[in-house]
Amino acid sequence: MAIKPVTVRRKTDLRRVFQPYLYLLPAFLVLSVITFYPLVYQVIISFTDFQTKDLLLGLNSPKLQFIGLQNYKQIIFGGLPVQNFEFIRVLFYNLWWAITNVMVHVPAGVLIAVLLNVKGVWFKKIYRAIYVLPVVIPPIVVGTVWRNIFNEQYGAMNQALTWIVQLFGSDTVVHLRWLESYTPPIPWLLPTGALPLAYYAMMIANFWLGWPFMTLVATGALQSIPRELYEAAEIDGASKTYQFLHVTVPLLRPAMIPAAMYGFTLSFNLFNFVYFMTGGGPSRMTEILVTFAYDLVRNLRLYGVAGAFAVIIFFVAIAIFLITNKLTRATESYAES
Amino acid sequence: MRKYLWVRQILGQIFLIIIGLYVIVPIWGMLRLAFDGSLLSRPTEFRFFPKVFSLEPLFSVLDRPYQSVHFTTLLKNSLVVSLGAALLALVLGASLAYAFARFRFPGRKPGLFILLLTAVIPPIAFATPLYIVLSILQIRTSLLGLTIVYAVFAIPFCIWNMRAAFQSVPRELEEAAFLDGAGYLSTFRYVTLPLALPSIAIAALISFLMAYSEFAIGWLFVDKAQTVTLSMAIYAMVQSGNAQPWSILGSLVVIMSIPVILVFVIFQRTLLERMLFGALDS
Repeated sequence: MAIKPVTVRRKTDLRRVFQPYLYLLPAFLVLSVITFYPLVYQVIISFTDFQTKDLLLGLNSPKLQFIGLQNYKQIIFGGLPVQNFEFIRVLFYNLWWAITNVMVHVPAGVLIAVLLNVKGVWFKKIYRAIYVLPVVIPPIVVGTVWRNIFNEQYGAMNQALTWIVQLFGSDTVVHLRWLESYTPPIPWLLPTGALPLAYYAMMIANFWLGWPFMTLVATGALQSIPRELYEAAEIDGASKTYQFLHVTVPLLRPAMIPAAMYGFTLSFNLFNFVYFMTGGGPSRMTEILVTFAYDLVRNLRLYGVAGAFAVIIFFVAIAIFLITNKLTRATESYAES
Repeated sequence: MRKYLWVRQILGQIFLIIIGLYVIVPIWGMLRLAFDGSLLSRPTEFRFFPKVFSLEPLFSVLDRPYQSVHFTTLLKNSLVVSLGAALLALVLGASLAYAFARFRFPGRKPGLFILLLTAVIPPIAFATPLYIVLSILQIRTSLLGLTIVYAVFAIPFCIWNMRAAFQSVPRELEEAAFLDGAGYLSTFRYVTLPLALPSIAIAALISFLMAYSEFAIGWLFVDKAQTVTLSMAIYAMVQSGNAQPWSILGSLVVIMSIPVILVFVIFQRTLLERMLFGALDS
């Protein structure tokens, strides 16, 4: 249905046609300079051997050479002057990292939201004030905090584990090298490359960062579920578990799927946190696509390769966007029916 | 039945307290670092309370946190960049979101698709051309450059968040205002804006936080100490390892969190609580 604002005056017709574009104009001007133009530029760079000396003049640089698809070949099939980098492994690790994060955050967020939503729980307000802290503390602070916790020598995690071990009568001092150890605790978990201890450390830390958001979304959705549905279920003799599975979960789904997709995208590109916790280490085992892209620019200074890598990231992003979009759409129609 | 309720209450409380501890202990650990005067370099153990309570690290941060830059400069840079970015992202994002939520026009679908697509592309992916573009515009090393870049990074989230809010404002209300003779702008100002305010507040907070803690892109662009922000200073400090007592790092981190917590406390009663947890049981 074509919807137009109801206006009585005729002379505003022309204005009305252009109205939407007026709203779009300022943002599109800024975006074209900061986003779209650089994107095109990056595609051109990806076919060249762009180096530090070309930074000053950009594409006008006289020494710039077009080398075709060589950058792309090097990234995908190997041959980069970079150690410990295999594209497929990093890509799969990145996907795995994002998926496992969402798979932990969403159920935990829903569970805690449900617990907090029970009528008559004490100190609700205090818990809510505390639980929202991870959302409002600057992410760089979170990174610093968790780096300290997983420190091998003075970290709280090793100290807590030591305390627990000693509680059971042993006198060993736990000295796990959380962020530096190479040996994977569960070698068979991911076929494309083993997950180091740092991965688990980052899962714990990112859980701290991620679940409150899911709780927020779930709480909002929970409170919009009509109470009558539960009353009706109760009259029909449904147990609490049955009510949860057949009333709460289906009605939460339309809200949680978009949130999960958002969380997935966020985790997939979680640059600040990953870079701050491990910097992709040990030996690029926890590297995700964005941290490697940054490394290419900042430390390795392979700008041409970075361009090609950005284009590859772009295609990965489109794929993810299309898939998540489709999943969200699917649930949208589910919600309407 | 009564007894059963008690058991459930206590089990629930234990669970909630454990989660509360999980949330609080890391923050507490950082606070303790910030106020421990006994640290000379890195800490040697995790403690709940400082060995020697001292405000000295806090004051030394206020005096000279990073190289020769004054703390006030760092804080000013951070606040200017993040407030500016949040404001710009809000204005641009709100106009975009409003247009996409309210009007049907040719190019609407592809435009929205492209905008939401940029949300999934990490900004790091176009660092090199951005460097060149900003150099050409001669704003690469300025606070203005950082502000614009950070604002653009935040726009997709703003659209994502505000479009839904604008859509949920009943169209009839706007139409009523039109019929009463209000223009587009005053309708937006007096009808749409107040109703969408909680979402706008969230978008503002998230945009602010994104810019406030961004250090990587900024670090690539900045080449004089005068335009370094707080988060870049923290990054530099962590990179430099154990040259300084960690209490300094702790203090800087604590100080950096204060403005955000302050904003949160101010807004909590009015906007955030309503948006975040709903107002149904108060």
